[in-house]
Amino acid sequence: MSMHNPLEQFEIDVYIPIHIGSFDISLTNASITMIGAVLLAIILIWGLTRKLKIIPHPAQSLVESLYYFVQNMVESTIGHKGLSVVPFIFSLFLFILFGNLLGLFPYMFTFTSHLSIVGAIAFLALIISMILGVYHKGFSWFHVFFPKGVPWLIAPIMIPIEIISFLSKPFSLTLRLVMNMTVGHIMLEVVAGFVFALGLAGFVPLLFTAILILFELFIGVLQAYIYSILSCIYLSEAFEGEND
Amino acid sequence: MVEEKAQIAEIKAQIEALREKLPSSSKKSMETSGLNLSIMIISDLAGGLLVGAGIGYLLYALLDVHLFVFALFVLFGGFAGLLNVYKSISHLEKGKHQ
Repeated sequence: MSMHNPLEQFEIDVYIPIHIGSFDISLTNASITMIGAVLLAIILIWGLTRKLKIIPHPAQSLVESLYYFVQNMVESTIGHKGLSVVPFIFSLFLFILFGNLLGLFPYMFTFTSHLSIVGAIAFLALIISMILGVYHKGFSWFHVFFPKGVPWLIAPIMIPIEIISFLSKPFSLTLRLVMNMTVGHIMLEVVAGFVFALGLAGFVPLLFTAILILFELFIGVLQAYIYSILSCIYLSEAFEGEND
Repeated sequence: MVEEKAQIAEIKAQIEALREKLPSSSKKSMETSGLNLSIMIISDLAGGLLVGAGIGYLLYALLDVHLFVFALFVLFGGFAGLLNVYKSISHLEKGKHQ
């Protein structure tokens, strides 16, 4: 019996080809799932907070606690001055969270397992961090590459290392999420492949698949949290020394 | 008034005592679990090395510099990766002590 290729789930399929000039903006399984994740987040947040009350109903308090969770995360990492980035981090968190969770449904695409998608978000965080840093601290922000008090003699070594360290942050952030998602989904696919291949004994991998799905559910939420908190840490460099 | 203040102080002490009884904050347990920690270290090292090698290769391919510059930037990338690991771990440690 031939086994299903576990890497097939990460292939991009074009559903609706759209070309504008030399630009290919075709609707693929990845872009459709991303649109789905955004729409789901908007509908859920909008739907649950339509009739706001001073004493919140359970649905409203669910959204409020989610928002306060992100707000507390930003406040504990960046400080009070960092509250301006809460909407960005909240959107980021929801996008990654829904991306991870939607990927668990059959025939859905896990866009958080693609370097290009997660990398683009990580670079956005890096660019925002640079803009905010220069906005808040002016050109003294560039001291992150060569802190005050460090001997000038080691500048030729320290500056390139610090610049590479700064630029590599989106890479490590991306690799972390992509590795987690890819490994989890490959494992799930491989184990699920044994369910029919083993015939009657297939209930063992079936049980294991069910446990793995629960584990992936946990990993999906956890990784969305870790991605957001690490983005906060990167953004915190823009506010360093300003916290009150 | 004095009685109310004493009550508030007592409640605060109770909350603090309960907080201390908690095994660890969710953040700490999430960040320091074995798999997460290993993926964090690998991605930090790989990220630094990739960017260092990338910059080195760009300089080598576009500016036609000596191959030694490429090797130097790979080395810088490796050190940057180690620096990233150090920063991530010290951030975790800082979180633990807070």
